[in-house]
Amino acid sequence: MTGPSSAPAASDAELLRRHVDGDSAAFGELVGRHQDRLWAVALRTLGDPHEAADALQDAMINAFRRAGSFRSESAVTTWLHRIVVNACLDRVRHNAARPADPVAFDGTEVPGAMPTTAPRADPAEQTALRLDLEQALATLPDDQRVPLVLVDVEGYPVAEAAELLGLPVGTIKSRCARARAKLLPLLSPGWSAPEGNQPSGADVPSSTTHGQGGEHR
Amino acid sequence: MSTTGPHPSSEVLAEYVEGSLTDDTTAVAAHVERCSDCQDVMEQLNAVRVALRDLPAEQPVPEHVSARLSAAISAEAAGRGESSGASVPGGDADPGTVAWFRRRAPRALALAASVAVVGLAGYVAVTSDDGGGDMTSAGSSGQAGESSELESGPKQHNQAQDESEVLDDDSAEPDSAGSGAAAPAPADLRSAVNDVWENDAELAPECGAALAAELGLSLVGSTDSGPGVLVVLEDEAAGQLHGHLVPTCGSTTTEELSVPVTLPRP
Repeated sequence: MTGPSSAPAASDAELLRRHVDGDSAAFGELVGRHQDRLWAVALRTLGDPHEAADALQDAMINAFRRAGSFRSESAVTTWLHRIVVNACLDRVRHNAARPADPVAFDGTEVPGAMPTTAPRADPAEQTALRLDLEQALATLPDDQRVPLVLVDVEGYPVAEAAELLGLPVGTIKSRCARARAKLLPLLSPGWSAPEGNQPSGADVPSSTTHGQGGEHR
Repeated sequence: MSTTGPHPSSEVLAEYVEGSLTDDTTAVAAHVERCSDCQDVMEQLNAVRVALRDLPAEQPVPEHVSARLSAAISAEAAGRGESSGASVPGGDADPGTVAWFRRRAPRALALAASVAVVGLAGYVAVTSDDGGGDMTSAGSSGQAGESSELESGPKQHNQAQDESEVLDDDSAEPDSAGSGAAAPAPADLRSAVNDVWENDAELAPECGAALAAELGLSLVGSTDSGPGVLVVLEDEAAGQLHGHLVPTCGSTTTEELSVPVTLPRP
């Protein structure tokens, strides 16, 4: 329940109830209210604006149809969030089996996730870092980006992310850790790794027992 | 600084911090303890984590995405108004929108009709004798379209009709549930539980595992059922089967769509 009862804006739950009762405008209003949040989830999880747009639409149509089954024990936003995450995971699984679609995003050159090193209008370092992070997230492979977004960005407990993805907890942890290592240079652009601290892709001449960091499970 | 051997890679350090390192961690620990460089790296790794957590929760949705979303929702609403005959203010069919939506988004719609999508998987799973193990691709295949009509079983009837009528223009049917989300009757649920038990049906591998873990029961299987997924669990001690209707394979009891049904194990 958001907002005071005297306010003209209906609560999320109220909107959803109206929708179930046949109010044709209620669901659109609900989506309009939360779409920026849900877009962020979809875009980060999928790392691709085409895919995110499709997933968001799939999810909202799904939510539209299943609204009658929503139970008020959980927040409407949590419910919507979960539906979006699931739509994204469906896409990741589906896409694993087919090649990427090279079509430009709606014919325009403004893919939201990848502002090709756009000039930073905002001088604040935080903004720069945020853009870099969003950008770098999109470049991670699906199997690292998805768990990292769920756990580090969206705050899912590792165990829950593991369930959602159908992977062991140890694998989720490992993939998150390796993804964080890949993002490391962003935080200290001038930072030069001490010898041996480079990502293991480079052939580090190593005779150590602690190895190259292949995937551990 | 005196260290023992070369620095571990940043990935190894990240795994060390995360606790997911399965190799010999003592060597890493011994090194890290005396290596300020590696300690710096570990601090930075933590900073990455913090930075990710601090990303803004919202991002402005691009206008064309928002417009497309609105149009899809309007088309859904228009279709619902027509097929249910419910009194929907302003719910008159907007043929333009519907036509646009048909042209533009049939695949998305098909995918979105997750009932239809899982319906196919459920259909295949139920009808194949031993093919429960490799349903992954069927579960996420987007080709299902209106295949929920393939679904056998009386509980699916209304649902299938709804799905197909969403896109049909003048087939008013006052009785069909507008949202298509009515939960099946307990008797139907019980018979569906029985079917899952007998056929070892599962929508997807491990579908319902979260629910099973939460309740401490063993997972029997799952099937598509009306508004959601029917997860069947076995209480071995009590010799009972439980059927829980939830929105997704990963759902827990907080999302249950109806009161669970219980029946003696056959």
